[in-house]
Amino acid sequence: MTNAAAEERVAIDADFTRVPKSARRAEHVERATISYGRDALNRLTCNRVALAAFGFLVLVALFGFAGSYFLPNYTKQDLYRTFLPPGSPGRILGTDELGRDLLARLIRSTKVSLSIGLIVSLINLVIGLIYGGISGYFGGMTDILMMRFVEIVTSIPEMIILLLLLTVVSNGMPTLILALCLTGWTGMARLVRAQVLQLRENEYVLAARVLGARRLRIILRHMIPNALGPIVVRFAMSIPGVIFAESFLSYIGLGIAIPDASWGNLAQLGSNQFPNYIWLFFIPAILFSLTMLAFNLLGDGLRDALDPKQRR
Amino acid sequence: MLNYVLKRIGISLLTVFFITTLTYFLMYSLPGKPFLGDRDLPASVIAAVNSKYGLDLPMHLRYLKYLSNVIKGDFGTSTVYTNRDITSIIVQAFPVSASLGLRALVFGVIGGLLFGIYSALHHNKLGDRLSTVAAIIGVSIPSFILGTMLQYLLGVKFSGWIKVMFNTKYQLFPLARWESFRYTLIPTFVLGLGSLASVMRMMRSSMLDVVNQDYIKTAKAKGLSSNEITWKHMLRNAITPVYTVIGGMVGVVVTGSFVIENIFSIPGLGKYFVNSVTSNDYSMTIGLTLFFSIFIVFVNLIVDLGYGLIDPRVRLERKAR
Repeated sequence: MTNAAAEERVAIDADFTRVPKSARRAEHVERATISYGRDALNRLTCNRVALAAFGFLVLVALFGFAGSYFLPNYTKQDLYRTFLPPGSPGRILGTDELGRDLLARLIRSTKVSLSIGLIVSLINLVIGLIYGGISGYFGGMTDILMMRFVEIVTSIPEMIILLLLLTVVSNGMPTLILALCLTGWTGMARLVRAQVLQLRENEYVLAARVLGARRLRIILRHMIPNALGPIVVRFAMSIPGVIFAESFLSYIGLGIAIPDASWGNLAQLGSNQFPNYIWLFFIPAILFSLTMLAFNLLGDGLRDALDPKQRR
Repeated sequence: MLNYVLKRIGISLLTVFFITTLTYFLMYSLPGKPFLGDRDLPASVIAAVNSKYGLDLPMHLRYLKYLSNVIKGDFGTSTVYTNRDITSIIVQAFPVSASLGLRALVFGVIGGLLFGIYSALHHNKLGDRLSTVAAIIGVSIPSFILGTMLQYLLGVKFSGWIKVMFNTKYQLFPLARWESFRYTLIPTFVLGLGSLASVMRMMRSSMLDVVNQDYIKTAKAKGLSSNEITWKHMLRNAITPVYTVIGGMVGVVVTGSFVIENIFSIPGLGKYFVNSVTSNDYSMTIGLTLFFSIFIVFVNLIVDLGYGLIDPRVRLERKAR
């Protein structure tokens, strides 16, 4: 330190008084800390409809995954006891046209449909995060090329990819999952890319930087909470979408094949027995519709809870 | 703007090319060879038939031939029913499917817009609550389940009750087929309900966003009538995000109609499609899928170009670049 600088320093100290630590805290541009997760959780638990939907989904999942330990035999035929009505002894929900126990098949179909919904949505989430993150982060020509590819993939119906796969591998759950992933990841990738692009340019990120926040802090406190909401909501909403697609494909005979069960082919088999044995259709159809409703209600609740703009 | 149009057209053509190539190699990789049926044909005969159909040509020439056939509108013939060519089936059955799809889209879009506007204008009142609940139920019921339910409840039960009640043979809601307006009611409703519900939800949230904007305050301060504000200022701004959803809906309606046509025995393309899947008629399934894919790509192209036209902000953005 030179002599002149030291003199100047003394002069400044004489002219200005240093701000005490307590006053400095008042400058903090933040309110009392409630963690993002806790805040979202608070708002979610206040939403009774979303809570009820979540409870229902837990019950359905228990029914599907735990139930298969009690009634694992969903393919056993009993041609002496076909079309038993619900409430028959030992066959609580009755039997179908080959004497298979409807309750066991319902449990199996719940397990299959829920698993496909969860697995496909998770895979799509991972692919979307990586692909969208890269595309948005690098920008420029990489971004343009990657997004053109997404546009092309989006416009190919999943039916054609499924048919292509069916000629190479056999009909079943892995094929269906692969086909649904090959076409389904694009939505998440687009969303993640849009989020990354938007966050990079956002004013509050700039403001945080101006206030001297470190990069890690900006990412953890500002970017992730703001990007997380839409991604979590999209993830939750994509599960019923995947189950819809799965059941539709199974319904027309391209998805889960008959001895195995899914909500789609169960409803399809049931509708063949119309109008004489309506429970074969109505029981799986009602469980399916209620589950879809619960997913949508929970998704709506999540959207309201995770949107940072809603923070009080 | 011209640049934008050309770019969109280019992408669509590329996509169609991609899909066609995919289907070609799909066909090519199918197991078995043509003319290897149950009869033992001499090698010379097989060679003759192969050369007649161009099957002795190398793969790239056959691929080019396939491409040119598709461009000419020839999608091949059915493998299960010989002499049934796919193009003539498309010509005969597609108008029925298109009519069903259009009705459902018109019903869904107009109904969805009206309910969405109503809901947003009566935010948090009873009507809004009811229609929001109805919309989320509408989004949640798969069309094939709703279709079968309504076929049973309205077609069998309610129409049967009317027959008994008024002692007639008049079937109010027919169970199947596609003949007069009465026949179209349930299928249109079922196919359009999902679109109606999602357009309604979208329109409602979009309108609620617009309501709080400054230019609405300005319009109110200027003393414009509330009708004028709703229809001129809110609607025009709220409708653009909804338009993109409507564009994406066309594909959903097309695939949704597969099942609806099957349930109600409507002689459209979807019924042929589902039948071809269940009877392992590969070339038919693939030909129809190719047709649907190309159709959806071009509808999306038109929707995208329309988007550039209706939203001045998109146009300006393109010019500024």
